[in-house]
Amino acid sequence: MRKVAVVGIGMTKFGVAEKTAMELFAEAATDAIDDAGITTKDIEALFFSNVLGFFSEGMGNPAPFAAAELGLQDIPSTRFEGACATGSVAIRDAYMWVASGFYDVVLVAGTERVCNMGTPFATRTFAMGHDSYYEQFTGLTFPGVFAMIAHLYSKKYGIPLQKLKEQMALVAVKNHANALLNPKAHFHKKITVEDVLNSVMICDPLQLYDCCPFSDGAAAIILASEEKAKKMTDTPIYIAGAGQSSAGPLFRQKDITITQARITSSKMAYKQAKVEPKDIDIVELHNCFTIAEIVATEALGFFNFGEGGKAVEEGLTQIGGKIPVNPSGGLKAKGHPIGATGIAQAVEIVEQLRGEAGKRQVDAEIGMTDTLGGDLATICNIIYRR
Amino acid sequence: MMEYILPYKKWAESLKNGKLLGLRCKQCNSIITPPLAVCSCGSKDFDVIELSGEGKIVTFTIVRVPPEGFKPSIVALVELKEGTMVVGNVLCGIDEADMSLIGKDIEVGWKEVKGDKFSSGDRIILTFKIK
Repeated sequence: MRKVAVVGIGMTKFGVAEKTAMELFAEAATDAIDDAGITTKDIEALFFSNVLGFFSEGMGNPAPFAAAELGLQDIPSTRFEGACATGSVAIRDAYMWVASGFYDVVLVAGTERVCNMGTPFATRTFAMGHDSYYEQFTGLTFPGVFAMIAHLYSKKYGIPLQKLKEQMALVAVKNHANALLNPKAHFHKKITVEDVLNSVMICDPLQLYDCCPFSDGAAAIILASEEKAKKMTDTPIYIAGAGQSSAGPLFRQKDITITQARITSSKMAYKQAKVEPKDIDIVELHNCFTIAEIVATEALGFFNFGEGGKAVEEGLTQIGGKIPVNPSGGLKAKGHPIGATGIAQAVEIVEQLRGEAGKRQVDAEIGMTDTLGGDLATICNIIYRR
Repeated sequence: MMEYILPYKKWAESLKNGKLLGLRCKQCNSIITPPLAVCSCGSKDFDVIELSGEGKIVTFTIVRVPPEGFKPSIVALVELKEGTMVVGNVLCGIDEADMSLIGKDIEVGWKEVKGDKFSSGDRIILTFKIK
């Protein structure tokens, strides 16, 4: 396998967009192409990430149109699937094609537009990530899944629910503070623990500020073989390891506070990169809900099981802490346009490893992304290094 | 040719007759419900069995912001006596649902939920009555 590097990045502002998903894609993609200092003609394939296009814009086969949008009528262009993890799944596949020698330069891009759908309909389509026959028609939602995780976490580790809720609130406060330093974040609003604990209840015990928003936005990266990358940039950021794993619906998982697929996937990435959790300097992880950030830091090996909440209290996950978690603000505050999310995580890690992250800069050589899709069912982890 | 031994339709129709069906793997003795095609041990050799319909609540939530077409509900993950887990609705008032639900013994029932244009028909889902 050849070494593969990220040589270009692009990302729109996340938030509520007037533009179409395709227009958002075009912005991020052309920014990534310009950033790499190449032209569209250098791109051999497009790995495209979009999840809800069918429902939000009646957009059924957008990948070839996305290529055409860039004047690339004839390159292979394929849409990937992995619910909220789709963007990272697309990166991993693109990485393997370039590593194998099949392509030298490819574009990976994700876009999503859901704010136009309204909360009830968007919630319905997100809930399609649950098993349709044995789960979904209980009225379960994704806030519901992570709410069940929070209740079980409290019970399992003997942490009183109110105490856990305060730890979860600190996760929200930290991510909103980080997002204030990120010009492209959905939210630029400082919040307090009281704001979180006084917000409206969504799925007990998760309140509004425990939840990420519905967001519109797009992100893109250019991957190139080492040989090509060295000609394009002085700061190639290499993919050192990648992992992906799957699980069945919730009812087939032994302990939903653990996320076994994340343990399997991250071990795969650590092994390939020849690193351990302690070697990771920065992580962008899937914090769709505050409790999600706590359990992810444990399964990735940064903290012992049951101690992720305490680590937040001790400030270990802040910028400047033991392991800065989501300096971008993460899904929680940067926003979560699902098809773009995994790729936006890569954009943040690349900016950080290049030393271009401005006020939220972390001193980092090795960075990691963690993206979760559906019923804790698709997990993809990628490790990047300078 | 492989035959799917316990399809959804049969599982749901049996539930309406008061029988919660599952599979017993003939190779590793695992008890499985909802059904699947191949056991995690690799075997596709199953017996269809009737389960006790009794279990304990592992965790729960109150979904107060439901998907379009749904009402707020209490959703729980239950571990059946046989060790397999299922998802369903707890039969109690939203105001009565708190952390004391976890560990409570339940009895499985069923209810019909109307489908929508995305669902290919109606659903029979599990309900949990607190003992």
